[in-house]
Amino acid sequence: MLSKRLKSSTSTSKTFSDLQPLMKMRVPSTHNKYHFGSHLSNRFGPSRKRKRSPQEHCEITEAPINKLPNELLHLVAKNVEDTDTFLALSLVSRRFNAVTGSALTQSYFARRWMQQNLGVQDNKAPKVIESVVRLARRYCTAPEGCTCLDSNLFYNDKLHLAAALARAMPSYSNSWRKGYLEKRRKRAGNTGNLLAKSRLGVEDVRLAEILVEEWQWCEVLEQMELQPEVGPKVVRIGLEFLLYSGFEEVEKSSICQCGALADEVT
Amino acid sequence: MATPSTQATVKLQSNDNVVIEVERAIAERSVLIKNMLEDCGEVTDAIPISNVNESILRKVIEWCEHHKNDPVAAENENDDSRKKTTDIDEWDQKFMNVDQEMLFEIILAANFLDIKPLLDTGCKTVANMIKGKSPEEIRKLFNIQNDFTPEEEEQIRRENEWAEDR
Repeated sequence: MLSKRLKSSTSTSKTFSDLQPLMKMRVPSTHNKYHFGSHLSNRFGPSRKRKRSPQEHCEITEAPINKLPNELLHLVAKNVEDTDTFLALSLVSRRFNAVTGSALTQSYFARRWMQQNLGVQDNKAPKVIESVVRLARRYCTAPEGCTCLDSNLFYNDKLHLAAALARAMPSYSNSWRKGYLEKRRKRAGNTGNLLAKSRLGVEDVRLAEILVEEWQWCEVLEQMELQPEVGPKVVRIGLEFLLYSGFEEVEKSSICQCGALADEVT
Repeated sequence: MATPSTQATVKLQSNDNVVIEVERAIAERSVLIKNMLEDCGEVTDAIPISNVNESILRKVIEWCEHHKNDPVAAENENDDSRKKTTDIDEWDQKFMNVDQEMLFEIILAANFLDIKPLLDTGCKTVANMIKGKSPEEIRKLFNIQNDFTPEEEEQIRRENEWAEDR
């Protein structure tokens, strides 16, 4: 719009002073994208300065990183490589806690992590793990008004899940599972994948990290022609089967078995 | 109506009033400057870069010179994000090997001038610096004050406990 306005002007050459008021109106790129700042709430309230000893006071100087506005700290957090570091960042200060606690930051972090770690040539972990994680989120989060699932079943009710996984633990080979899951994923993709729209968080990345680790471990065992042992870690790989057993139904209806509408994710 | 300019160089003026003449193609790595030049055709005056001082501006120009032939990144960030965080070009790694004061100034300048690849490189560099570090190590690295009360810190640790249980 600015460009059109200026191009409609009759002058072919301008001094830069003409543009100075317009230059102040321009907003840096990240501001448009992320809309951070005023709404980024600090859940512990406004930052309070602790009383410091005179010696401590001398040691603390202005940290250069404090010059970065929140939207740039968001970009830094988005580029963090794993959940351990991401969670460590949340414990650094109230400001970092607010940035890493933001659903938007977590969503970008999760998206970037999935893109970088799944389905790429030099990595063994298949893209299907992302679908599994998304389905886990759908499966384990009770829809509003749901009477048949506890809220956050997976993350809170570990005993229930462990029992279900033990039943679901397959005896098939890893390569068979890989092929099977890829087929299911493709088929689900043809029917319109609502799950792809769900917003992920740091806990979903953690689940994906576990699945990738398990997947790679099973691959190593298979290369050594060993049958993966049924242990607490390997059992978790059965999660894929447990979740995929209801995959198509969840995809089609988006209605929970109790009749409540499943999560409409933005 | 502004006509496309054949101007070979443009002048940039830092906030400490130093004027630096650079090739137009190099200056146009900045989307902000590129749009400005497109908007006003031929510019004879120096363009004031009000948020950036001389040393940072020279550093940014150095980066733009090195990357002047790089393809312009698409709006869609998916392609770029396929690269691992640790995948920073060797030249860029050396370029970013500066003190923290300058590193954060470069990031701020890249944001102001709208040079996305430089901004990404800066943010990736910071992300690499904190990789695998504990909260205390991160505070020490960046000289950040811990403004949590012990109770708040304990509460967050409890909330994060689920991640340890693997």
